Order: sequence, then structure tokens, then C-alpha cells
Amino acid sequence: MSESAQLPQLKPQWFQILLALADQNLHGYAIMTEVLERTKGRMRLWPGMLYGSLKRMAEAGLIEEVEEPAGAHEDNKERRYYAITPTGRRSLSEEARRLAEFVEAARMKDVLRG
Amino acid sequence: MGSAGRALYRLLLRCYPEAFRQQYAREMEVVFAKAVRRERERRGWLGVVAAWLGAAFDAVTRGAAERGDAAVRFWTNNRTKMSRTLSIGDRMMLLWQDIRYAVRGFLKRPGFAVVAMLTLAIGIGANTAMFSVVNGALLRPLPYDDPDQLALIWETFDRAGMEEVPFSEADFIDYRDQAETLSHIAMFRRLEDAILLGDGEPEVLSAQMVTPALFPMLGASALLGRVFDTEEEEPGKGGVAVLSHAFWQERFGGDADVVARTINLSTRSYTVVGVMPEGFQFPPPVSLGDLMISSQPDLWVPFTIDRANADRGRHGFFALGRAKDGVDLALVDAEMKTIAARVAEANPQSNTGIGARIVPVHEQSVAAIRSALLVLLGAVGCVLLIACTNVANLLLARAGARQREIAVRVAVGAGRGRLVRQLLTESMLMAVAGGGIGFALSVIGTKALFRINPMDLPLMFDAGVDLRVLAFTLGVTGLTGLAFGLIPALQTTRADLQTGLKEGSRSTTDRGQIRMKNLLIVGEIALALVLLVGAGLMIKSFDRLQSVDPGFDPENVLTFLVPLSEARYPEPERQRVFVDAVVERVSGLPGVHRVGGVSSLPLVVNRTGSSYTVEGEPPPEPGEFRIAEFRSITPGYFEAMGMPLLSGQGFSNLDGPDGQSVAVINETLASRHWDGGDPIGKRISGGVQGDQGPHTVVGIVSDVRFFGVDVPPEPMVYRPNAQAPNRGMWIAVRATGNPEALGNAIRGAVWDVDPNVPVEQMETMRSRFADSIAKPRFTAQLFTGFGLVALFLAALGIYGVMSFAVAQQTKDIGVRMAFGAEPRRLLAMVLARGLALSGTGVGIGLLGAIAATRLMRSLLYDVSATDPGTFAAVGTVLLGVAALATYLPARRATKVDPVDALRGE
Repeated sequence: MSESAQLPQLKPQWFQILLALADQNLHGYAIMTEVLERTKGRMRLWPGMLYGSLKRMAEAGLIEEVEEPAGAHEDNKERRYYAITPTGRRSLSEEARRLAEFVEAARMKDVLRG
Repeated sequence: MGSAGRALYRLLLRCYPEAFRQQYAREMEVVFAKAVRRERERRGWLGVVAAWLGAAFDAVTRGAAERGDAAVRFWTNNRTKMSRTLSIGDRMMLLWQDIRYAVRGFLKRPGFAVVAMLTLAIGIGANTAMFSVVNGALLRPLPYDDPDQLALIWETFDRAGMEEVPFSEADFIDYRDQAETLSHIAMFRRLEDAILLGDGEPEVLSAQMVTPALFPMLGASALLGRVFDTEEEEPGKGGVAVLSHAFWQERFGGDADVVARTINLSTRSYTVVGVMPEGFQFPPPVSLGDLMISSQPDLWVPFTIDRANADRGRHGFFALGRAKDGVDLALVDAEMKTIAARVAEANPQSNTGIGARIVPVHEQSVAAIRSALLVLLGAVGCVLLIACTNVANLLLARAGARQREIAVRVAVGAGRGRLVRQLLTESMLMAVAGGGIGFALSVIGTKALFRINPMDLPLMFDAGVDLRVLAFTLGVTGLTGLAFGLIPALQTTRADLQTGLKEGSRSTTDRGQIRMKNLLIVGEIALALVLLVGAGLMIKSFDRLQSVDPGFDPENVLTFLVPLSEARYPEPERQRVFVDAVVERVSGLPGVHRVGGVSSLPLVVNRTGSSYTVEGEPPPEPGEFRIAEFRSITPGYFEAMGMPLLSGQGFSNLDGPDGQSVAVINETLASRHWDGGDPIGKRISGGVQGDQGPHTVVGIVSDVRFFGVDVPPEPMVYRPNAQAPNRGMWIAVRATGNPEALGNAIRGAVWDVDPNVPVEQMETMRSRFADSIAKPRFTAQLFTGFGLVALFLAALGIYGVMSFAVAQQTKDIGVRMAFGAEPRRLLAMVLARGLALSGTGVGIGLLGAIAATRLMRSLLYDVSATDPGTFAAVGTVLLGVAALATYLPARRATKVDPVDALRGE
């Protein structure tokens, strides 16, 4: 049995959120826009979906709330920033590898060209 | 996003549980505002609309998910906390404490408890009663072995659209010989002329002829003696009878020596071979229509099947089959259709266009009443919902008063779970008490309902309380307790500790409470409106039915049947002489205006349609049926019934057996063949065997609603009884005064002619008319009752909420008055609030009614399910009542003394 079996199963929106946090700590709205733009509008995280996911992912230990970075305080509104945890990073790479295997398989069967 | 948008989004955010909101609401709002701005910049107003729709969907679905999560967590936490610390005994102790606490609370405010319990009792009782009816009529299996395998078999006249045509004898024999999917098949019909001869007044018995296969098919055996042997269906072998338990008890005092005794019926005498056990009933209570007058026969006799002389044209027999073990009824249906095709091929002249179908017995027995019962069950469910809403409102109002109590308990360490449980115990206790009273009410109510049985429900036994009804009541009671208890319990325990403890303070929960109360009241009014619209439609429909012109004048007419036995009146001539003599005798009685005889009376359903042809028109093709009802009448019949002749003339005593064969036809037949032309003098053929004409049309008479007030008239041909004598005639007597006073004199007159002829089913036409619409009347009455209860409860609810609101605002109002606000404006202010609530409720209710009343379309006569008049009227009435219920507390607001109000704090 591979290691991924012990990691929490990743829903598509969780995967995208982890991906957004992979290289930077972000607040909710920034996560939403990052995902929206990177997926070319294909995944829109509505507020309920966004914060519901963040809450659960934090409970699952995939992400954690962090201090606001200095100087980010632009409009007097305190915000929660989120960072990816080691567990989160492990799940993310596991999932990315899994997807990559699928893509590789698809490439072998020459389905990407059509 | 403007402030309105912000407020709207905050409303959406209420979908989420409070803890979630506290944590994320502000950020979500910001995120959404930015998202909306972004969409507007990119896609204009379309983007804004899309964003809102998406957000709404998001809020509803995610909110539900979060709430589900929160609830699961709440209960698991509490359970684990409990189970860690408390044994079962401790928990029982706690429950017992809760119950004692609740009872003490009720006793402290008995008025509140009594009102709440009675409200619930009405709701639960009505539901239990209605459910017992549904249970008895729709859900109980028929008391035969494996009843699901039993089905009625019908022939069908496909081109005429007739789907339930009884069998002809010859067809039945063919089916019986060929059917392979059936383990049994039996034929039955009512035995006519079952007149019991003996001492005392002659009496008509209810008897069924059945083929011997019937009893084994049902899995029924005799209590005493035996049922029929197979060969007893052969010609010359009959002459035996099996008695029903009731008849045996009543007529023979339950004498065990009844077997081998003889019963003399007018047709022949029968030797008793057996007695059926109590509770056996056949035919089952199914709507077989015409030929089935009684479903509780006194006795059964063998159906004699004469293979050599079996008739293929006379369709008057019912067939019942049992599918072989493991054979699906659909397969049986398919086989019957195949056999029908084979029979038609072998007998093209008589059977072209005749098919077959089966109807499961249970289906047949409930088809006619199912929709009415289910609609009523739905209506009564609405009443319970309204009752729940009202009690929930009462509890909410009380919750305000209990806030300090709750706050104190929290302060001394009670957890929220513990408090919710305590409050739920109270509401459950109330529900159980209400349920108990309701159950008792329903037992009484159901008994009364079954005694009247106004809908002719097919009840096999007295359908009282059984386990299923009990389970239903328990379930409804539990749900009710939860339904009206949960919201107030959660609402109350949210009380803020700080403010709750402060003297006379108004806590933040007040606003939530008021909103919840408003919501409840709007829902209540909407429900009440739906019910009232339903009631209004039923009443209107019934009114339409009642004012249908039946085609005759039902006032002052007494009718009765004089059945003549074949044994004593074998020849037509003797039958005719008897009827003429009776008509003459009765005509001579004082107080009698006109007397006429007829072979079958309107509204006494008896379909005997025969095919006919019109001279000069091409005969119908095989498979196409032209069917008219033929009736034999005596010359005074039209006048006695008050049926106007539209053209030509009626019959006279000159139209005797030797005269020209004449007929009077009804409007429908006249317009079908001579639309605009003159049928007088034309000739038509058809009628009973041996009297098929041609008959010359001499007159046209008005249409009569023969088969029911709501059934459109069908083509009819009247023939003089002197030319087409009928054994057994109905006599109609038009009196100058009260016709019922003539009963005894009429019996005497008939028995002067022949003391052995019974006088049966004496009833006025007025009461036959009323009986024929008893079912819709009863449905309308029940519905109206439910509607009125709903209206009353809704009015009570509005009154309660508005009183509460006024009481809460006393200080506010006092201040305004101190500053010189006019009482009139204050009145208007409160009224406006009440009306806004009721108006919203009415609006939602109207939409709901449009959706709901479609279900009752089949119950309505000549009224659309969305009849605008009814909708408008009901809406107005409800608003009026709501205005009244608001006015009383509103007026109280104007009576507030500003000094008192300000000091009162």
C-alpha cells in the first residue's frame, strides 16, 4: 500500500487551494483570485465553499492560520492568512504525482493530441 | 456592493451556523463584495446577477453542510460527555427530573398548557381519525388468501373506449378453457329475483351466483357443511346454497342443523349445504358499478354454466382470476389479451374489437376513493402543521418570560444541551398529552365516521384502530413534539447570560425571536390559505353539482321497486297486467297526483345498454358499437317524474301489444342522429331480445342525468311497457303533498293486487338525488371543517404575535405618545405591520394553493382548480380576519398611558 493511502483524500478544490498556497501565504480573497485565474475561470470558489474548505483543511492539518505578513495591512481590515503545513505539502505532491501519472498514461495512449 | 446588497448578503449568511458566522462572516462579505465588483467590471450586470445566483446557491448548500456538521458535533460531544459521567440510572433520574420540572411548569401556568394541549389534540386527533379511514380503506389487504394474486378480468370495447365491460357467458368459458397463467378463474353476478317466500311480508334477499371455483380460489372454506362441488355448475345440478354467517344468525338463530334445510326463493328452492364463517365477504367491496348492488350477500348459489347454449352477446358477468404462484399479473394481462384476440378471430361477428384487461382486486376497490382520501389526508396534515406553528409561537412568547430562569440555570452551570433537553422534554410531554387526548377523540370520531360511512368506503371490517394506526399516532406525536419544540428550545437557550440576568432588559434574542415568530406566522397564514382555497373549491364544486338540473323534478315524488318473480309471473302479459293494476290502484289513493312505472329509475345505477340502429343509416361496422339505454315505461311516467316532452307526444293506453311499435327518445339521441331535423316518424331498431323493433319515434323527452348527477346524459329510448314488458318495475308516485306520508297506503295498494310481491327500496327522488351527491358533500364538509379550524388557528396566531409585539413595544409607544404622536397613527403603524405579515402569508399561500389544488382536480365538478373567484374570495376573507386579529392588539397600543409605560421599566 502506498503512502498516499494514509493521507486525507484530496477534493479538487482542496488541491487547488494547496496549490495556491504552495509558494506563498495568502488570505481568502487572494486564494480565490489565484485559483480563478490559474484555472482560467474554471474553478470559482464561492465564499461559503472557500471558507468551509479552509476550515476543514485546517482541521485536517493540511493548512494553518499564520500571522499577517508585515506591511500587508493595506485597508485596515484584519484578515486571516493561511500557510501550507508539511502534511499539506506531502498531500499536494502525492496528489500532483497521481495526476501526473494519469497524464503520462494519457500521453502514452496519444490522446492529448486530438 | 451597496448597503442593500450588503444587507442581502448578510441575510444569506444566516444559512450558516452561528459559530461559523462568527468566525468567517466578515471576511466572506469582503470576499463576496470584491467578487461582485470584479464580475461587474468584466461582464456587466449579467455578471452581477450570476454572482448573486452563485452566492445564493453556495450559501444554501454550504450552509446546510456546515449546519449538519455542527449538529453532529453537538450531539456527539454531549453524548460522550454524558456517557462518560452518567450511568443509565442517572440518566433516567435526569429524565424523571425534567418531567417533574415540566409538569410543575404546566401547573404554574395551566392556561397556557391547556390551550397548547388542546390545539395539539385537535391536530393529532384529526390526523389519526383520517389515517384510520385511509388505513381501513386503502392499506388493509383484502381478507383472502394471497390477495395480491387476485385480479378482476374485464372485456374491453376498444372502439367505444369502454374499459370495464363484464363478460359474456360464452367468452368466459373460452377464457377459462384457455388461460394458463391462472390457477383459478370464477364468474359471478347478482342473482335477480331472489325473493324469499314464506310467512310474513315478502322480502328480497341479496344473493350471488358464483361458479364453484370461487371458494377455493379465495382460500375460503365453510364454517358448517361445505362449499360448492365442481359439478354443481352443470345444468340441472344446482339447487344448493351456502349461507352467510350474518344471515344464518339472523334467520336461523345460528342453528347448527341448518344444513340440509330448504330455502324457497321465488325462482326455485335451494338446499342449504353450508354456512360461511363470520367475516367472509364476497364480492369484495369493489366498484363494479351497475350489476353489483350489495356486496354483503345473504347467500351464494352455484352459477349454472350451460356450455351448449352459452350466449356471446350478453355481457353481464364478472370474472375473477388468481394468478398461479410466482406468475406476475402483467403476464396474466398479456395472456388475457392474447385470448381475447383468439376469441375475436373465432367469432368475428360478435367479438371484433373486444379486448381484455385485468385490474388487481385491491386496485379496483380503492380506485374511486383514493384521490379524495389522500387529498383529505393532506389537508388534515396541514391542520396539524398549523397547530404546531401556533404552539411553537406560544412557546416562543413564553420563552421571553423564561429568559431569566434560563440565564440563572446557565449561570449555575447548566450546559446548553441539558437545557435544550429540558425544554424538549416539556414540548414532548405536551405533545404526548395532546396526542393522548387526540387519540381518544379520534377513536370516537372514527367510529362515528364509519357508522355513517358517507363515502361508501370499501371497508372490509370495521376499520378501527389497529397497530398501524397506533404506530402512526405515536410517530405523528413524536414529530409534532419535535416540530414545535425544537425551534423555541434552540432559540431560548441562546439567551445571552449577561442581559438575561439584568432586570427588565431586552436581550438581543428578542429580535431573533420576533423574526422567528414572524416567519412562523407567515407560514401559518400561507398554510391556512391553501386549506381554505381547497375548501372553497370543494364548496363551489358541490354547489355546482347540487344545482345541476337532473332533467326531472325531484320534489314530491316517492319511488319504489316491485320485483316480480319469474315463477309467479312467467308470461309478459301477466307482468303487464300486474303493473297496470298497481298503477291504477295507487293512482286512486288520495293525495296522489300522477303514477308511472319504469324498468329502471334514474340515479339507481343500472346500466343495460343495448345496441341500436337507425333506419336509413348504414349499420355500424363490426367492433363499432352504437349503444343506447332502453327503458320500458307506463303512460304516466313522464308526468310523474316531471320530465317535459320537447316534441311529439308520450305514450297512451292505446299503445298496446298489438299496436304499432313506438318509442320516445331523449334529446341526446335526437341530436346525435337528427341534429336540427325532425326524428318524429323515423324508425330505430334495438332493445332487449324479442323486442328489437323497428320502433317508430313519436316524441322527444328531456335528457335525464341517469347514472349520476355528474355523468352527462346518454342516448335513451323509452318504450311502452305494454309493448316491452319488464319483470319488476319501479313505480314513481307524484304526490300533491308530502310523498312520504303515502308509504303505508301504497304498500296496501300493491298487496291488494298481489300479497306476495315485495315493495322494496321506497325512497323519495329528492333523497335519491341527495344520496347521489353524498360523497362530494361529505368531502366538502370535511374540507370546510379543516379550513375553518385552520382559519381559527391562524387568527389566534396573528393575534398572539401582534399582542406580543405591542407588549414589547409598550415603552416605545409610550415615548412616542409622550412626544405627541396621534393614537391614529400608532394604530395605523401596528395595523400596517400585521397586514404586511398577513399579506406576505397570503401571497405565498396563493402560490402554494396554485400548486396544491392541482392534486384535487379530479374531485372538482365544473370548477377549475385555479378558479380565480375562489382564490380572490379566500384571500380577501383571510386578510379580513387577519386585520381583525391585528386590530385588537393595535387598539390596545393606542390606549397605552405614556406615564405608566415610562414608569413601567
